[in-house]
This record gives sequence, structure tokens and C-alpha cells, in this order.
Amino acid sequence: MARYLLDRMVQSVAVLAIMSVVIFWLMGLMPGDPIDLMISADPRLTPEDAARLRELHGLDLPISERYLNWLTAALSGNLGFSRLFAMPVLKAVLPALGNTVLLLGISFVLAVAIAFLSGIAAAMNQHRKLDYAINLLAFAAISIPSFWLALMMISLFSVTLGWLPASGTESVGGGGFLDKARFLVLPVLTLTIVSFGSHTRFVRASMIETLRQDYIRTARAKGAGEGRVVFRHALRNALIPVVTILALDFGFLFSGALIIETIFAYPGMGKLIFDAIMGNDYNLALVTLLFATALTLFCNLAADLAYAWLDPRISYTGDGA
Amino acid sequence: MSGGPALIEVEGLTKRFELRDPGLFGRSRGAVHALTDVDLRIARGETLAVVGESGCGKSTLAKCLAQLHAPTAGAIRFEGEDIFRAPGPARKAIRRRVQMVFQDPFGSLNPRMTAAEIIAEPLLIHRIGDASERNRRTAETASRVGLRAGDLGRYPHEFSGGQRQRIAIARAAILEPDLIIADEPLSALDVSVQSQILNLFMELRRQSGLTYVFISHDLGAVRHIADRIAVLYSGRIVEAGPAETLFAASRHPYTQSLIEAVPRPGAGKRLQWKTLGGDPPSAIDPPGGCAFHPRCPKVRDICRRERPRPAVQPDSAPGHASACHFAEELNAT
Amino acid sequence: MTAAAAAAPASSARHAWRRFARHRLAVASVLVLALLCLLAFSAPLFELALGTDSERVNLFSRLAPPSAQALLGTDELGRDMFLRLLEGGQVSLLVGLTAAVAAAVIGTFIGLVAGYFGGRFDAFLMRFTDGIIALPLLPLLIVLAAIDLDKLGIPAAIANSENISLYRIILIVALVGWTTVARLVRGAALSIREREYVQAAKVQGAGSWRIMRVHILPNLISPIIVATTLSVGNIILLESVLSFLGLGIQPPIPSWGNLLTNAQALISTAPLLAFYPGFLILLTVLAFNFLGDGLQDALDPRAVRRRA
Ligand SMILES: Nc1ncnc2c1ncn2[C@@H]1O[C@H](COP(=O)(O)OP(=O)(O)OP(=O)(O)O)[C@@H](O)[C@H]1O
Ligand SMILES: [Mg+2]
Repeated sequence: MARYLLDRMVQSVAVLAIMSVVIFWLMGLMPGDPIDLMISADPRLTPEDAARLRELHGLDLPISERYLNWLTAALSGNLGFSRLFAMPVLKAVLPALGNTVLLLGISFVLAVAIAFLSGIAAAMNQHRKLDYAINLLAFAAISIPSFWLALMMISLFSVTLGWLPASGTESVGGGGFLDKARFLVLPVLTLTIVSFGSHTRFVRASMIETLRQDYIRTARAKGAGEGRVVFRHALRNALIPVVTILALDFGFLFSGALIIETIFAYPGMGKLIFDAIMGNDYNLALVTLLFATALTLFCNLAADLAYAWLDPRISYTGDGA
Repeated sequence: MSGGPALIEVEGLTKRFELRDPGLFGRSRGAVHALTDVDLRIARGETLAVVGESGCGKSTLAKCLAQLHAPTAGAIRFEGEDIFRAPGPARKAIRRRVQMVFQDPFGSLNPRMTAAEIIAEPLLIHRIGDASERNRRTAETASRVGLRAGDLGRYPHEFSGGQRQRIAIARAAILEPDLIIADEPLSALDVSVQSQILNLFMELRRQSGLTYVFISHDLGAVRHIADRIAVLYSGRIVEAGPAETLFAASRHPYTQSLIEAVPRPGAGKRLQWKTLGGDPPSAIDPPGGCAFHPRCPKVRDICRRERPRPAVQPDSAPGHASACHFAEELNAT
Repeated sequence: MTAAAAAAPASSARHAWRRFARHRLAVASVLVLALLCLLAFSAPLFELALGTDSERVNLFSRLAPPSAQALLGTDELGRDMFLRLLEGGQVSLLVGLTAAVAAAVIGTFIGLVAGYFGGRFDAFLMRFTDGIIALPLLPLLIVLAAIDLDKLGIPAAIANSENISLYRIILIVALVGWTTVARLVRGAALSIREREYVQAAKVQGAGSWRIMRVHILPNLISPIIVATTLSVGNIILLESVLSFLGLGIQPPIPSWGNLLTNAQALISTAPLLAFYPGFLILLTVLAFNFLGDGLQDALDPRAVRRRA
């Protein structure tokens, strides 16, 4: 187990390292470069000035050297300066990270809770009306464009009904807990809706598969009540594949967050990434993208461990074939 | 029979399957010892039967001979040329002369190809003839194996099991190979068609002097077709010799128990493995000493300690070797 | 999914059709998709009949309500919304299908090679797909979409051509969309390569490429069709969101995604402008998902039954 954990951690770090190279390289391919931006901001700069500035910032070096310079600085804690926010990158990232974790966390818990309730209900009523209805809803949720759903939510709850705010995190001048909660409702609701569909289908499929197994039949035959069968025997086993899939979906959840944060003007990582890319803030974009990647990898790792913990059959000393 | 020029010689053939954890850097978890130190000599025109119980390595031997598996150690020589050390073109040329018939006549035919396409495929692979030449040879081979020309446009699932095996045999025969390896070609068939297919094998051999390696788990079934028999146990050859000698005067307790399990006419209901208790040996961790010792009715101390080497006894028929410490004492006659 | 679909011989087509016909939502989806395509691709006919076109700006009737002249009203520049939706549909459907086919080709190739050769090569490729699946894709796609083609050394004539945003989005989406097909194909290829007919072909001396082409690929058609259909929906969603963010299909070429970009600003005054394109995306994606589900039931009866 320890060895397995180590293996997986090494792998995650390797992926992160590879991604840092890829992202760094992609950043270099973005339109313009920092010096161009300075020139357009200050027309008095001459081409000679520009060349000097390039040299000063190490931008005339080959990309491999630039990457190594960046990496050395980053590893010693210097992640650079955000042009857009005029502050150190880390200072811009941390609050956004908190906001995103809040948004994703609540939505994830809600989506999973709904998925379990509806997935189990559907599995226990296979081929009946309830099953069909849940499946239909799940399919609709999978197929809905998240940005459109967000716009429709705003149109209905903010514009037409005027119940909830459409953007931001709190009222002007600040507000209490309830005020902040009101701002979270629409983003959370949207993100929950677009992610519960596929989860529901996995829970349902996994549950149906488990309910078919022999030991479940045995438990039934021994006279265990249906509720007991489902919750004591089937659930734990159905949980195993579901956990992996939920975590694999984390990348998807993060993509959803990017869209939803952007539309609801919610200052989280997703919006930060988008703004950084669109605003040519290379330092910020690089770091936020890496943060997002690290976060996803971490969740995958956590899921793997949860899987190992849930499934007593896997010892990770292997029975390979 | 065994005196003719060797078509194939097998020397010290060993095949292990590494067991490794899935994944890129999966660790090794030991190995399956499918074949160990197998020596064989097959003369041109001879039919060698290989028998043994499930998991003893029969299919592995067949697949090594057919170049589907690369051996872990040892050599297979085809007309003196070491197959696995030969350059690519030479290997392909040998492939053309060594063909194989599989156990499951449904699984061994591509469900999306017609019988004619299946039979003609070897010609395409080796780029033999033009379309009309291929058609002619396909029709001719099909009729040799007893398939009706009108049926050749059909797909495998439209044929019966016996007919499917005929298609597989036609595919193996169309290149006019020297050697056909048949891996339990009868055992998936109805009893009623088994003898028809067996007769077909014998008929083809009579027509074109084929050499066969005929694999079976049933000693009785090969009695009529085999010139020589090799008995495989736990990946090793424990006894080999002329078919009639083996039946009449086996010198290995394992072979003897196989012979006893063969139903005799009028002996009533078949009692399989009557004399042979215990489980087949583990292929991952084979027993030390003589691999058969845990199940041998005649086991003694030395059997647990030392592995017997195949040897020809002074009073045995020529070419009859047995790997038993007490071979000279065991004479069924 | 794998073994059953692979073994299905040609003659089971009738059974498959019967199973498909039983899946009512899938049949309805076929009709919906056919209707959508028909409407979208007959846009020129509607233009002719209405005596206008989707690009004609009419500042005197901006944000007009539905009328006989403009069936779904007009947008902020007075353009006929109905015609804009049809034009956008053409683009979105074409881009979605093309990207899905491109993704299926890439995925089939990778899955086939990984499944057939197996071993470490397979382990490596699967790690790679796992890695891709686990990444936060949208942010990375946004970076890809924002890349300056000049810096990649692509000639300006191509980089600035009108349709470049179409090719670019197809490429980007296909680049990430192949993983579903690759995994399915790889699983099926892994099981088929153990079949005796593949072994038989090897004994005869067939090379790897011939075996993959003649013996494995034709037996993978069903899973490929199912996986491709199921991925069209996702790909259309991805395309639309990138276009919505201004990084996919660029105006003046209309697409359902970029029609929504303008509508966002007008959400309080003209909510219907935002409603239509999104609803059409939903309808299309839903139909493709139902269709895929139905095909899976029909072509792969042994898979776990999942009915909607
Ligand atoms: N590709 C493989 N990987 C790992 N182990 C294998 C492989 N092929 C065969 N084995 C193992 O090698 C041993 C010999 O197998 P083989 O198929 O040769 O037996 P067999 O005598 O043909 O049995 P049967 O009568 O069941 O066909 C078995 O223990 C089998 O599990
Ligand atoms: Mg076998």
C-alpha cells in the first residue's frame, strides 16, 4: 500500500512536471509578448529600448533556458508578478483558490448526494416509471450547455423574479453570511445541475450491477429487508466504481467552474484563468493553469486512495495476470 | 517410422510466461512454467500425437511450433534451420510450410469473412497467383475437404461445427504445407462428427504425405492416427514412443493411468481418472523432484528429491523413452 | 461492450434493428436530428422565400418580436433570428460531426494499436489517455484556442483566412475528443486479438497491419459507431462553449455558441435571443446521446442494459 501510494505520487508529480513544460511552451505561443505590451502602453519606447528590455527580462534566451529560469524562481517561491492585478501572482491566486474550493465543494457534495438518491431510486425501480423519469432527467442534465443554463438562471431568478443576484460574491459594502450565501446560490445550482446527470447514471448502473450479484441474492433469500439489503450490502460495493468515476470527473467539474465563474463574475480560479489568458497576463495564466492541474491530479490521487480503502479485495501487492 | 529424416527438431524448448502487474512499470510476480526442457524429433510424413491433461502445456507447444510464441530457451529447427534465429524472410517461408488447425472451429474463423475468403486468405498473404488462380485453388481445396462449392459464399455462423472445422482444415491445407499442427481439433465437435473429421485428417495425409502434430487430451482418440505419442505432464515430456508400444508397454505411471482411463469396447461406462487422484500440478510453482510424485501411486523417496531424466531402457522398443526413476520395473506387459 | 459487439455477425443486423426500434427515444432522436439537419441545410430556401438573408442588418427593426416576416424576431442589429439560427445550425452540426469523425479516426488508430500490440506500449498509451482525461481540459483548450498561429510558423495567408476558426476548432476538439473512442476500441481490440482467428492469421504469416485491417477493425465497427455517436454530443457542447467564450468559431460565421455571446449582454432586455440557440444545442446533444444509447442497446445487447 505504501509502495502504491508512493508510485502514484511520483506519477502525479511527473505529470505535473510535464504539464508545466507544455504550458510554458504554449504560453510562449500566445499572441504578443510582454515587451510588445509595454511598447503599446508607452509609445515613447524605441526598438532599441525594446531589445534592451527583452535582454533585461531574459526574453531573448532560448525557451529551454527561460523555462529553467522560471522553474528555479518558482521553486524558490517567486511565482512572478501579475500584470493584470499589479500584485504578486500568489496574492492574486490564493483568494480565488478559496472561492473556487467553496463553489466546487458545495456543488460536488450536492451533485453526489442527488446522484446517490436518484441513482439508487432508479436502480431499485428498474424499468418502472420512476426509473425512466430519472434517466430522462439525467440525460437532459448531461446534454445541457452549462453557459446557457447559467444565462437562463440569471434571466429567470435575477431579471424576471429578482430573487437572487446575478454576479459577484457579496453586496456592495460587504454583507453577512446570508448575503454571501445568496450570491452562491445560482452558481452552485448551475454547476450541480450540469454535473449530477452523469453521476446519477453511474450510480444507477453500478447499483444495478451490484444488486444482481450472488451475495445480494443470498442476503435477500435470508430474509433481509430490501432497505437493509440496499444500504448494508449493496451500497458499499456499488460505491467502489463510483468513487473512481466521480474523481475522474473532477477535471470536468473544474471546466464547468471556469464557465460558470466567468458568467456569474465569481472571482474564482476559473475566472482568473480566463481573464489571465484573455488579458495576456502570462505569469498569472501559467501559475493558475498549473494550480488547476495540480488540484485535479490531487483529487485523482485521493480517489485512488479512497478506492483502495473501500475495496478490500485490492491489496496492492498484486495478483497480476 | 522415427528413422526418416527429421522435419522438425525441438531441443530444450522452454517457455515461461512472466506474470507482471498491469501498467507501465508493473512488477514481475513470478512466471508460469508452461514448457520445460522439451526435446522432440518429428520425421517427415510421421504423425506425432501430444497428449496430456488440461494446462500441461500442449497448446503452448503447438504455438511455439507455429511461431506464435517465442520460446524462453531452446531451439526449434525446421529442416535444420533454427526458426527463431532465422532472418525474417526465411521465417515467413517457414510459416508458409507450417500450418495450424485450432480447437474451436467457430473462434478460429473470422465471423465477417465468407468461407471462400477464409480459405483463400493464405494465398493473399503470400501473394500467390492472380484472382482466377486463387479461386481455382480455393474451390479445389474446398472439395478436397468435402465442402460444397455452392456453400463457399456463406459466413461461418451458417455452417455446422463439423463443416466449420473443414473450412479451417482447408485454410491450413491450401498452401500445401509440410506440417500441420492440430490443437485438439476434435474436442469441440459432436461425437458423431469427430470420426468424420479424424478420417479427413487421415485422408489428407494419405493424399499428400503430410506430417502432423496432433494434440489431444484424450489418449484413446489419437490411437488410430498417431505413429508416435508424446505424453506431456506439467510442461515436460514424461514418456514418448511408438504409439503401439506405449499402449502395450508403457513405462510411466502417468501414461498408465491415462491408458486405464481410455474406455475399452464393452467395458461399460467410462470412468475417467479412476486411478488418478489429486489435482493437476501448479504451473507457477511446480512440485520439486518428479513433478508427478504428489499423485503417483508408486511414489518413493527419491521421487521427491530428484527429477528423473527421460531415458531409453535397454529392453524398450527403439525410441521409447520414459522419465521415471523406476522405468525398468514398470512394464505393463 | 467489447466482446459482444465484436462477435456480432453480419446477419444479426435485423435483430439489432428490432432492438433499436424498441428504444423509442432513440427513434425519436433520429427524427429530431433529421428534421434539424433538413431545416439547417435548407436555410437558403427560407431566405429565398422570406426575401431576406441572415446577414441583412435592419436598424429600424432591432429586437423585433416574432412576426410573419421574422419568424422568431430579430436580433440587436435587426437580423432575422430564425435564419441566423439555421445558419448557425449548419456550422455547429458540420463542425460537430466533422470533429467527431476526426476524433473517432484518431481514437480508433490509437486504440487499435494499443490494444493489438498490448504490453508496455499499451500501458504507456493508456497512461497517456488517463492523463488527458484527468486534466482540467477547458482551461487548456482555451490556451490552445488563443495560440498565435504566426508563432507556430503557419503562413499568414492561412492563419488569417476566413475559415481558419472552423479548422482550428475542429482540430482542437478532435485533439481531446479521441479518448472515449480510443478506450473502447482498445478494450475491444484487446479481446479480439486473443481470438483464434487472429492467431490463425498469424500462423499463416499475416503481418500486423494486415491483421489489424482485415481481422480486427471490421469486428470493431459496432463499438466505434456507438462511441462516436456518444461523443458527438460532448463535442458539440465543447465547440459551443469555446465559441461562446469567443475562442471557437468567429463571427461573422454564425454558430449556436457565438450567437449566445451577443445574447448574454441582452439577457435582461431580450431573453429569447439567448433561449433559442441554447435550446437547439440542448436538443441536438440530447438527441445524439439518446441515439448513442439506443445504438449501444441494439448493437451490443450483452452490455448492461441502460434504458432511458
Ligand atoms: N499467454 C499466457 N500467459 C500466461 N500464462 C499462460 C498463457 N498461455 C498459457 N498459459 C499457462 O500455461 C500453462 C499451459 O497452458 P496451455 O494452454 O499450453 O495448456 P493446454 O495443455 O493446452 O491446456 P488445455 O487442455 O486446457 O488447452 C497453463 O497453466 C496456462 O495457464
Ligand atoms: Mg490447449
